[in-house]
Amino acid sequence: MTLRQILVGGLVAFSLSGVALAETRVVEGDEAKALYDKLKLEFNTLRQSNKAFTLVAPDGTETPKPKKLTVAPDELIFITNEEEKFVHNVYDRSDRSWVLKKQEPGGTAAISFSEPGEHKLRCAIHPKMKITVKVE
Amino acid sequence: MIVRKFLKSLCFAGGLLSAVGLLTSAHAVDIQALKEDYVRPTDIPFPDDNPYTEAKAELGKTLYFDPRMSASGTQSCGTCHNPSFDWEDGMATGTGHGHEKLGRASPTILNLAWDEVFMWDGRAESLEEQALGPIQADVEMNMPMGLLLDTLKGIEGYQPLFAAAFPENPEISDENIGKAIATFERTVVSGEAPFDAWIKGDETAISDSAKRGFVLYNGKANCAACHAGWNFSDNSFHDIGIDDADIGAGKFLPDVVPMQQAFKTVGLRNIDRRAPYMHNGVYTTLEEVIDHYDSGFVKRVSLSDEIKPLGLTSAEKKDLVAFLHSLTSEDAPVTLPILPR
Repeated sequence: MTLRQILVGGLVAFSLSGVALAETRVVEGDEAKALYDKLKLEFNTLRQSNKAFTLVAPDGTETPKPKKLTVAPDELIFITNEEEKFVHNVYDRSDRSWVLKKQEPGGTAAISFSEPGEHKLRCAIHPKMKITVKVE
Repeated sequence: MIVRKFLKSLCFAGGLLSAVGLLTSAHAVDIQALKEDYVRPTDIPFPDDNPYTEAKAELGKTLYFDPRMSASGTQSCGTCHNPSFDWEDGMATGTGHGHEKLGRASPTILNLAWDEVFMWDGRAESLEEQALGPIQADVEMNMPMGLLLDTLKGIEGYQPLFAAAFPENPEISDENIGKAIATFERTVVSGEAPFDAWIKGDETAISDSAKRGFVLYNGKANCAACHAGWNFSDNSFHDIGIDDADIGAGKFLPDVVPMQQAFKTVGLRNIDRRAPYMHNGVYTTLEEVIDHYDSGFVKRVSLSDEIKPLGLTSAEKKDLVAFLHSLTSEDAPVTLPILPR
């Protein structure tokens, strides 16, 4: 299932709360939480804790500090902030566009990229928290 | 996070508490667990696309100390990042082409192998990229890349050095210059300090005051929120409330508030030999730096959430300074290369 299919199919009611790139879709807030609760066993999650990403695969396998994640166009990626106090600001270093300008502890977002390409995601404040997302 | 971790694990087993004198007034802390976050790495990391070789590091060192890398023929990388000053220049801000003063301090190159992004504002993605920046910047070394390549190609003695460093592609190119200088810079690592001996278990290596300072550093003074780990930096960017107009990393990320006037968190190794302090060299002593974090910062909308009034006593400030002094290593003098002609 892709974000586009969800949008078109209307399986979950939500609105786009931000668009960082023409081909980057971002859903935040309660809508993202509802998506995450429904679909976290079908898509990858990037969990933010201790100022680092951990990749949680749909089967629950965890990879601390992953270097790369390959997804299909429009495939969802959840990003959760599970810090106790740190706010994260994830942007696309490739073109310095925003993905999540501000994500508070406890926040959940769902993002997807519509076109093939490479996106270097990184926290602006904590640059060691980074991952390259390859869309193919 | 570190603070929470050790405060949560209040230890009542005597074995983990190394001394009654280390207890803060409010909390007993698990010193041993905390010390594990500060163990030195055993190897220098080199990137897969620019692995270490001795010949490459030697070429990099030669280029680093060669003033012919600048338009004036008087400035090398080592002019502003001078090993005699712990790879800084001992001045509040750097001095560039034509002896013009620059707006920011010359940061040390100590321990950059472990850093993530480079420059005070984080604009360089790699050490290879960073190395080529100041060479070409008109206010710094002012050397156009074309002229630099022609200059180096005209120095006969450089050809065998490039051939040895890059046997598969010995061209005198900007890419190879960046790789060589970055390789040399990654070998510049601060040596073992008294603090490291203490981390290893020598209780006599640092004073009780420094040990109390370590607890404060990780607790009440909140230093470790950013100056974390063996090199005392997590590479994060924060506005720490320095009273000047430089927007720092905000230049590249203008629409996010916390990045305005934010600068890279620097490591604190050998910090007592690296005055003046801060990105603009505004403070000349460690005591002034601690007073800044205690209560001297400018309150503004971009100020980091980590910067709050600390309420440190004068005794606590002395303990923090004693701790910072324990981070300095007795490193051997650096030898200078004979430059090729």
